[in-house]
This record gives sequence, C-alpha cells and structure tokens, in this order.
Amino acid sequence: MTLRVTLCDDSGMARKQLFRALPADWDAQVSMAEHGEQALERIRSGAAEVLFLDLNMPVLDGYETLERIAAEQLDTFVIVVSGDIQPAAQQRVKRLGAMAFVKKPMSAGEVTNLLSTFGLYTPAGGQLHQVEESTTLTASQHKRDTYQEIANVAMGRAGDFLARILDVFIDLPIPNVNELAPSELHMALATIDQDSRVSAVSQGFAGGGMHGEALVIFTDSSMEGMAKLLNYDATNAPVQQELEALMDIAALLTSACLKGLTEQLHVNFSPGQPILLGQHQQLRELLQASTLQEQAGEEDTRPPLLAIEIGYSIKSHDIHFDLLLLFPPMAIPALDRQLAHILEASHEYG
Amino acid sequence: MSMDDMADMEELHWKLSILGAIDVGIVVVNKNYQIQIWNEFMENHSGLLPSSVREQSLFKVCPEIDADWLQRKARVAWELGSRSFITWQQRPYVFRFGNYRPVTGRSEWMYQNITLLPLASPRGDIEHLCLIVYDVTEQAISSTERAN
Repeated sequence: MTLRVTLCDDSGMARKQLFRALPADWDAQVSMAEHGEQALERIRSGAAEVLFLDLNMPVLDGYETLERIAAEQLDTFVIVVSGDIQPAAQQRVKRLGAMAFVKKPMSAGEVTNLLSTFGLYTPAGGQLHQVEESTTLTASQHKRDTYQEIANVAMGRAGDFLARILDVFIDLPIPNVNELAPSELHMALATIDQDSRVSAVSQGFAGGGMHGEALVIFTDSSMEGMAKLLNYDATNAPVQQELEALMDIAALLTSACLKGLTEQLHVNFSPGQPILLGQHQQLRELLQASTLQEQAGEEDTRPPLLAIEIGYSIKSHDIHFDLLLLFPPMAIPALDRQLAHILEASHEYG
Repeated sequence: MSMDDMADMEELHWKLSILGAIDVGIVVVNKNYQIQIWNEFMENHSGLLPSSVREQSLFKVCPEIDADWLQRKARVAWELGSRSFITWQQRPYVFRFGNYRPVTGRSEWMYQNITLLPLASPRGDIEHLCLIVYDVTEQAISSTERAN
C-alpha cells in the first residue's frame, strides 16, 4: 500500500535535497510542509504516516511540533533531519517521541538504510510521487534560501563542536541572510542591540579563488560569563581571560563553520590569522572604523556584499554571541556557481 | 634513476632548502609533543640544534611554554583538523626568543603569531601538529604605540 510521507523544512533547498535522497522505487506519496503548523495539518489529514522533520523553523519549530504530536496523540512516524547535531538535541527529540535522528545533508544511502531498518521500504515496491508542488520562489528568494540552508548546516557543525567543548546546550537560530552595502554592515546584525558595547575578532578565509571573512562578535555583558564557562586560569587578570575567551571561541566557531562550508561546497576554505578588531566599543562605531567608508554625505553605491548572521546563545548562562559570515561582491558569482553545481550533483547522485 | 625521479628529487631538495631558509619558525611535534622537525629559524633563534631537540618533549626543551595552555589552544587542530591560531595580543611570545633587531628594535623579545597546523597521515588521521612561528615584533610595537 502506498505510504503517505511529508517532508517538513522551512528551506525549499532542504526539502528538495531530502526528496532527492528518497529511493525512487519507494511506494510513497510525498507532501511538503514549510513549518510545524503545516506538518500538523498534514498529519491530521492523513498525509503524513511518515514525517521527516527539521528542527529550526519559524512559526512552529521541530521540538514544539513533537510536543503537539504527543499532546494530540497524533499517529505518525517521525524522523528528525537536522543541521543542529548537538548530543543534547538528539536526546531531546528522542525523548519527545522521534524514532530517528539524521544529520543534514542526508545521503540517499542513509535514508534507504534507515527506512529498511524500520520496515518502511522494500526495494522495487513502487514509485515515488510528489503530491503537490511546493510554493515557487523568485530567483532572489531561491538564492537566499540556498545561502540560508548552507549556513544552517555549517552553523550546526560549529554549534555541536562548541557545545561539546563547553558542555552546555547552544541555542541555534535561523540564519539571517542579507545583501547590503559595506557601510550598512551594522544592519546585518539583527540580534545585537546597535548601542551595546561589543568586542570583535575578524578572520579572513580563502578557497577556490573566493575570499570571505568571518566576524565573531561578543557583547560585553556576555564576555564575562564566557570566560567563566571556559574555566580559565583565575590567576590571570580578568582582562586577559576575556581576551583569551574571545580569541578561543572565535577560532572554534570559525574553524568549525568553515569546515561545514568546505564539506558542503567542496571548496577548501582555509582561514588566515585572526585579528582583534576592537574591544568594548559601540557596535556601529567598531564596524564603521573597520570598514572602508564612502565620503561623508555620499550615498554608498558600491555593489552589495553577502552577510549571513548567526546569533548563537547559551540561555543557561545568559550568553549571546554572533558569527557573521561575509562574502564580498567579487566572491558571489563563484559562490553561486559552486552552489548550482552541488544542487545538480545531488540530483545526479541522489 | 629516471628523469621523473630526478625531477622529484630536485623538487624535494628545493622544498627542504626553502623550509630551512624561510624566515618563519617551523616545529613539528607528535601526539606526545615530542619534537620531530625543528627548522633553521628555530635553531638560529634558540641556539638549539635539530639533532639535540629531536624526540625531546617540546615543554622540556622550551620550559617557558605553558603546557596546559598550549594544549588547550591545540584542541581545535587535533579534534577538528582545522588550523588554530595564537596572536601576540594573547601572549607576546610562545617561544622566548630575543628581538631580531636587538639594538634598534625597541623590544627585548620577539613578538610572535603562531599557527597550529594539523598534519594528517596518509590514512587521514591527525598524528602530528606543526607550529608555524611568525615574527610580528614590528607590527606589535607599532600597534601598541598607536594605542598609547
């Protein structure tokens, strides 16, 4: 009998990748959902005997969706597919009733094995159908969606590594993608108050002829907590401890995130020496002092750069820090070509 | 020896000459922090011959290094396979070397930036770590002067 399956992810690219990873000879009818609320509707209408569920989503995230499924005693078999791969996240979704946890991007072999293990798939059982077309995106929305999903997976890798080193749970946001003029860089930082005092480290990276920069920004109020969490030698002056914490966390985040980008884009990004951009300065001042500015009073007509903001937080310690991935205009065409390659490749091998 | 082998040998010879002559320090240690490679820069600034430090513990050869601290910095390299960095702002130096320009250099010590580079074996396991030592005395002095 044809199985009814729903793929729930806010990213169109992720849904597409997931669909392509499903076995083509699976006797299943596939529907799409963009957030938890839609997934619940699919379950209620009988379109989700099996639900592939993302965790970080707007409207209703994966955890909340699992809670609602349990509360309403809905009948569905949930497989979580997530960029957030922290051990605590895996334990939490299992406790909430998910049957399996798979890290993004999911490979075709992995899905087939998993489905076979649970007796949901027999080879040559039928044909895979997609019930409805998901919403069509404009070219620019599509690009944004792709950047967001790539950043989502990369940030998940970085979050996992950091969580294991610090032994805390790290809250991962939905990455915030912007194209903006260099002088408007401060506007890329939606999760930090413009007037707050911050410290920042910049690390350049290069690969495949593309250059980019990763900024790690800490608010002063988070810095102290971070130094404590890292448990540094208390005989050092607090100023020295904070500097160490800032440099160390920046290095960890940037390395892990670049590794995530390297894995996905098949471009070997290697980082340069980190530079301390400034400490205890107003966010806007710090960024303006660090970037090439236009003449006063003139409009910034330079081509926009791509800025991806990832606002990490450790709620248990009231710590917040931002990773800002920046690609200059020159890098964007190469980045887009590489992304197009990957999407095609996942089609061929998927 | 075939022409190709000759070319390979020549290239290897060049690479070794470059590694020796390049004006940055190169130290390779194994998982136990025993020194495997110690290039001429390191030899010239420390006064220690490669033959005398080989297979010795880095922390015995250079007691000025805070072992716990360095090992914590190296964690990213060992565990993640990504390079990790130490800047002069964190500690002015890791290896206590004198200034290249001892008289007019305006600092007694050599300020250093260090890159910790994981080295994978042909199997892909990270079994060695390379410390690349850059002399950034000029940069550090001028930046400190600007800040004052």
